[in-house]
Amino acid sequence: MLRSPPSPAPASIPVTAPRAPASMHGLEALIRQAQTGDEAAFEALFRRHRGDVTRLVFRLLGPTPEVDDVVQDVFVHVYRSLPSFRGDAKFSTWLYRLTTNVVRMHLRRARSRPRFADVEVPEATAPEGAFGDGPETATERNERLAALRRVIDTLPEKKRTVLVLHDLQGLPAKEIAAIVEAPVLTVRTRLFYARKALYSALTAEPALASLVDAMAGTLRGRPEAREDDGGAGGRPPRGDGGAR
Amino acid sequence: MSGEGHAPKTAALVAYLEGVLTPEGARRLESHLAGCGTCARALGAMRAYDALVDEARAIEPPAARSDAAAWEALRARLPRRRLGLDGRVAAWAVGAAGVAAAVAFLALAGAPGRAPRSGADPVGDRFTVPERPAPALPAPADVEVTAWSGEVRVDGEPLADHGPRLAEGDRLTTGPGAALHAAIATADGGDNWAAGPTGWALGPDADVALASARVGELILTVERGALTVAAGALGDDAYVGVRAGRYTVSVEGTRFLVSREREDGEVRVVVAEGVVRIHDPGRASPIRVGPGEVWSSRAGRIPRPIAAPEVEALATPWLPEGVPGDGTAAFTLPQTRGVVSWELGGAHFDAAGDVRVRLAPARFEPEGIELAALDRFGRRRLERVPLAGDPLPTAAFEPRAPAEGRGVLTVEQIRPVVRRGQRGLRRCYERWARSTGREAPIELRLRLKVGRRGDVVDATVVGDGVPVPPPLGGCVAQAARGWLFPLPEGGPVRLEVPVRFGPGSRR
Repeated sequence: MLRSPPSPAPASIPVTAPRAPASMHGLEALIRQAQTGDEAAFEALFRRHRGDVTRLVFRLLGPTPEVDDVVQDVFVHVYRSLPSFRGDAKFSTWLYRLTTNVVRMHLRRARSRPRFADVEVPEATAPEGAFGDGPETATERNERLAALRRVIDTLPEKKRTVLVLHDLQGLPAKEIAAIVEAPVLTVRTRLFYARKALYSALTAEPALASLVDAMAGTLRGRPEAREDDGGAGGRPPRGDGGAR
Repeated sequence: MSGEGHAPKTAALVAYLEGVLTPEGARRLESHLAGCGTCARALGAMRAYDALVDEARAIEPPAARSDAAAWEALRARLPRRRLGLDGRVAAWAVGAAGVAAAVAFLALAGAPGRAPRSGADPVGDRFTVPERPAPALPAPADVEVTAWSGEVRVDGEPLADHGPRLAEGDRLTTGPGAALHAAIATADGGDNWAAGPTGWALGPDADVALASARVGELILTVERGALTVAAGALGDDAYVGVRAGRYTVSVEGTRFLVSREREDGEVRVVVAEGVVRIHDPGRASPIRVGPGEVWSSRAGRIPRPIAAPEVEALATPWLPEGVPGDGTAAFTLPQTRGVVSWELGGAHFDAAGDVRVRLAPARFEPEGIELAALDRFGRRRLERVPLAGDPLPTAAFEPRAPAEGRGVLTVEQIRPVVRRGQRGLRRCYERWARSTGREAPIELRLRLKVGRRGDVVDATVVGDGVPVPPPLGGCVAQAARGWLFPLPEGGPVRLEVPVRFGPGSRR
C-alpha cells in the first residue's frame, strides 16, 4: 500500500536548463536574485519548476484544459510572494504549498461558477508501452483512470489533497505535513481515511466493477516494500484500529 | 458469499496486503475472506486502487505549450512592480489567532491623501519585523459591496457605474451622509483563513484604500473618516489589519474600537474582549492591549472602565445572521421629521437619499421594505419604505453578524494547566496579604477564554459573593493570561475556575 516516489516518467513538458546568470550557483542564489526583482533569475526558476508544478496541478485537478492557466496563476503568486520566502522551508515545499492553495481557490471558484453543461475535455494519455500489461487499449485504461478521478473527486478537500500528494505525487508524509501545515499524524490520519473512503467508493463504481471483482478473486496479498517515509498513511495511526 | 451486513476491517486488510500479519493471523483472515463477500470485495478494491494509482502515476500532463511560450504568457501577467517587502511581510507578521468575531471602529480625521495602489508599498510607514515567514496564500479574495447609500465612489467612479465588486488597490470615498457596507465572501468553514464573514462599513466623509484583499489577508488603510471592521473566526496565518497614520491595528479575534481625535490626533484603543496588537514603528515590539483595557497614544494604558458611548460604538453594525442577500433592492429614504438615522438588519444609514441593499427576495414585499427609524434620542419606530423598481437578482451572499466558534476542552486537559498555575496565583495572594496585612479567606471565580492556539485571550476575575480586592484580582487575571492550554477542538473555549485563597489553603 505504501509507495515510493514515482520514477521520472517520459516528460511531455519540455524542460530546459535554467538560463541562470553565469555568476549564480544553485537554487538558493537563484531565489535570492529573483527576490531582488531579477527577471532572468525568475525565468530560470519558472523553467526549472514548471514541470513539477504542472504535474502537481494536473494530479490535483485531473485532466482539464485549465491546468495550464492554473500553473500560470501559481507562478504569478510565486512572483508576488517570493520576497517573503525566507528559506525556513525547502523551496519546493513552499512552492507546493502555494500550488495546493492556488488549486484549492481555483476549485472553490469553479464550484461557485454556474455550470451549463458538461464540457468534454481532452484526456491525457499514457505513453505508449508504459505499462506493458497486455493487449488492452488506451481507451479502456483512460476509462479506468477517469473512474478513479471521479472517485477521488468525491473526497473532501483536505483528504483529497493529502491523498494526491502522497499516492500520486509520491511525497513523504513529513513534507506533506509542511505543505498542508498540519502535523504528520494528521496527514497520516487523513490519508488513512481518504483511502478507506476510496476503497468503499471503488466498489460502487460501475466502470471499475470488473477490476475490483478480478482483484477480489486472488486471496494472497502482495507485500510491498515500504520506502518512502516509514508508514505515512498506509496504516491507521496508532490507537486507531481501523476496523469499522 | 456471506458476510453482508458487517463492515470490513480496513486496518486488518491493509496489514494483510502489506504482509505484516503473522502467518497465523494471515491464515485466520484468509479463512474469513473465503466466506465473506464484503471483505473480499474490500480487499479487491484495495488491490484495484493500487493498480490504478500505478497507472495514474505514469500519466504525464499533456504539454500545452513550450517553456518559452509559457514564459512569455506569464511575463505578460506579472505585475510591473514587485510588491514592497515591507507591506507584504508586515501583513503576515501577526498570525491572527482566529478566535472570534472582531469589530474595529476607526474614527480618523486627517489630511486627505491618495492611498497607494496595490503593487506599491501600501503605506509610507515602516512596519514591524515579521515574526514568521509569509505562507503562500495570495489568491485574491472576492470582495463585494453589500449595502450603500449616498455618494460612494470607487477610484473616483460612482459605485453605481463601477459595480459592487471590489479589488485590491481600490480606493473608496464616501460623501457627506453616505454609508457603505462591504464584505469578503471567502467563508467556507474549512481551513480557509476566515471561517466566518469578514467585512467592513464606511461612515460619511471617509477615504479608505483596500490595500490588500487576498485569501488570508485583509488590510485597509484609512486616510480619513470612520471605518468599522468585522472579522469572522480567523484561521492560522490569517491577518486582518487596519492602518491609520503611523499605527497598525491587527486583529487577533476580538472586538475593539480605535478612534483618533480630530483636534490633536490622539489615537485611542478600547478592547471589549480578546486582544489586539498595536504596531508602533517607534517601538521594538507591539503593544498588546487586553480585554477591558483602554490605551491612548498620549497616556498609555488608562485605568478606567469602558464608557457607555464606546460600548455603543462597539455594537456590531452588521446585517444579522439569517439574512441572505441574493437580491438587490433600491429605495429612497424619505426626509422624515425627527428621524436622524435608519436601520435595516444592523446596517445604519444616517441620511435621507437613495439606498441599495442586498437581501433575500423574501424580505421584499410588494408594499416596500421595513426599516427602523431612529430619532435623536435613540427611539425607534418601524417605517415602511416603497421599493424603487423590482429587486434585481444577484449572486448569493450571506452577510451575517460575526459569530464566535465554540470549542471543547476536557477536564483532563484543563486540570494540569490550572494545577501548574496555582503557584502563580498563590504568589498573588501572598503579595496582597503582605501589603495589606490581611489574611482573610477569599473566594473568587476566574473566567477564562481560551483561544484557538490554546492561549488565554481573556481572563477576568469575579468575586464569589463578595468583591475581590482589585490588586489581587488584577494579579490573578494577569497570571492566568500566561497559561497555555492544549489546542481546543472546534474553536475558542470559555471556562470558569473557582479559586479559594486563605491562610494555609492550597487553592
